[in-house]
Amino acid sequence: MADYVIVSGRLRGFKPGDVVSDADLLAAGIIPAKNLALGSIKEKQNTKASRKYAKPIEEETE
Amino acid sequence: MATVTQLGKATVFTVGGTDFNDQLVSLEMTKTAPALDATTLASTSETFTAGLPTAETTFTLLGSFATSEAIQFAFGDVGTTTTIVFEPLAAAPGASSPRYTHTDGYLASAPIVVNVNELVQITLTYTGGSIAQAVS
Repeated sequence: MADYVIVSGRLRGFKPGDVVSDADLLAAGIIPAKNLALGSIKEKQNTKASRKYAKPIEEETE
Repeated sequence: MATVTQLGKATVFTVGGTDFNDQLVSLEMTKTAPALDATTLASTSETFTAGLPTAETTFTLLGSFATSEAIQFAFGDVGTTTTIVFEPLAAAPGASSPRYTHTDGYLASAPIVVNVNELVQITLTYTGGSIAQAVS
């Protein structure tokens, strides 16, 4: 299940910046794929700390 | 007889969950049950029975070319089905304040019409599906 960030101020029941799931959108009659194409919503970026501070891959040495 | 003067106060008008209440200029929702001729030689008058019900919603919006606004929305909706919700009165849906929901309406075309010295408007017609009236 993907998470989305609301971009458009026209999606009834949501405001820009809200983070929502497919289920939230479908319950409001909003089809995620259609609104993603329109730019009304965007996919939420993964900002987990574990990624941000991931250990870099060490260079291989002979 | 009770009458209603529509003062441009549709409290809810959404297309696919997108709120266009503030751009709605006019709206026509039509629920149709085609009359199928069921008259026989035994009939004493013409008799009809209901065919497959259908629905049509036509509305005009003030057009904007910005992201998520009417014209981009309409172009994205062509060739797909969607749900249109209309609540004409401010009260919550109830016995005297119906909500009309057109489900599975299909948009076949999105015409852009532009004239000098006129506000841009776009008129869309969603056909097929069904319209339900909720009074609770």
